[in-house]
Amino acid sequence: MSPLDSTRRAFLAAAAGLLLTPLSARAAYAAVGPKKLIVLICRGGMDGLSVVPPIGDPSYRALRGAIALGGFGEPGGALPLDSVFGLHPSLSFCHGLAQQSQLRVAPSVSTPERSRSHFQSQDVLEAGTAKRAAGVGWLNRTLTALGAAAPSAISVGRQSPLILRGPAPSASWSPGHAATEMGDVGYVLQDLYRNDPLLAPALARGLETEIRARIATRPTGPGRSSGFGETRIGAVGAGPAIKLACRMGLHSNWAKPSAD
Amino acid sequence: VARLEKAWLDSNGALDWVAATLIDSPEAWEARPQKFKTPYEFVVSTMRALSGDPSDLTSATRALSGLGQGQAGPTSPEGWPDTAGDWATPDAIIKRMYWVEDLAVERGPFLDPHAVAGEVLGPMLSVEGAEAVKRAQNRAEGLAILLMSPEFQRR
Repeated sequence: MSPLDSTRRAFLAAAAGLLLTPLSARAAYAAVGPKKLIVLICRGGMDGLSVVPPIGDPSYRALRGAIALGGFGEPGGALPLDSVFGLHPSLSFCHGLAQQSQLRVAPSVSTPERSRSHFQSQDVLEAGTAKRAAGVGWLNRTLTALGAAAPSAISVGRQSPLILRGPAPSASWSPGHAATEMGDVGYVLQDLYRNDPLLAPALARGLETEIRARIATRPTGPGRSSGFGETRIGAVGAGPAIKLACRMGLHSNWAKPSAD
Repeated sequence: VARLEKAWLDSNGALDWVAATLIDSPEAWEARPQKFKTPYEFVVSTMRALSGDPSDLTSATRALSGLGQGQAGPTSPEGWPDTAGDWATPDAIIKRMYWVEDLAVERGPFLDPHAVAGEVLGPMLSVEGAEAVKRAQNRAEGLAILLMSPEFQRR
């Protein structure tokens, strides 16, 4: 681990931990220097037991049954992180980063939130408190704690998400009409309308026309931004130091969406 | 309509007989909402569902124009059409979806989609619809799915 890693970790630990005091946060931030923190919130259900399978747990195979991943070293098996946890074989890129101490997974972590509500659980994660607590996010509290040394913060999306909401000022920006905090509602509706003889064909034709219209009216040239993936914001040194982007839909073909 | 026509002809034009036939028809007793909402009905019910400000006529009239039912603006002297085919056009569905998305993003942080679903549809919301609302990635998306559900699109 390089000295840079250790100071960055100290900063992250100080920012995320319960022991966030203005003094320690400022000292840690000063030690890190003009680095940028980018927080990505991947909303949506993810089967953590497939992403980070506890291969070394003696009960894993029996309880996971047919969907258990192969063990470490087996062909197509999980990639080891330590003696217990591994990564899904599709995440070999992430595994490479983990081996260089550039990626850290926090498996088997939970919040006190027990309502089984997707929305309330996200609120707890973003607020960093057991209750929604007056709608102030932990990243906003971090800005307050950093005081005069606080960097500028920007959220990408039409509304500032709870994590950055609060008394400390922050900017927000969103690319075009793309509602980054809105998943693909049209996609969900196609499924919901599938047995609806009136709405299903109307929606399908409407979406088709919509896509054609977008292609036809798409601006070309270097200034084009077709959404989050191609967005360059603060890519040069002067940009805000805390960036936040919410990207929906971590549902992948190998990660079964959880029920809640 | 064919059944009512038959009742009218069979009874030699007895209106009470036609009315009884209408009440006896299975469609009249179907508890599930059947009729696709006009833009007016949709805008009003959406604003109610989201506890909107009833005096905010600007956004209501703007929404109505955008959804194709601008105030005093029917294109025909017969007034606004009354069949689903006239309103449930591909473009109208997309426009409703975009309007609802904008509204849900605005109101999302203040509302719980589960609670709104319970208030506005209750058991009328299909199991699949309730599941889709529950699986939404955040409050705004949950609200948008609820308001675009087949059940909320009908009355």
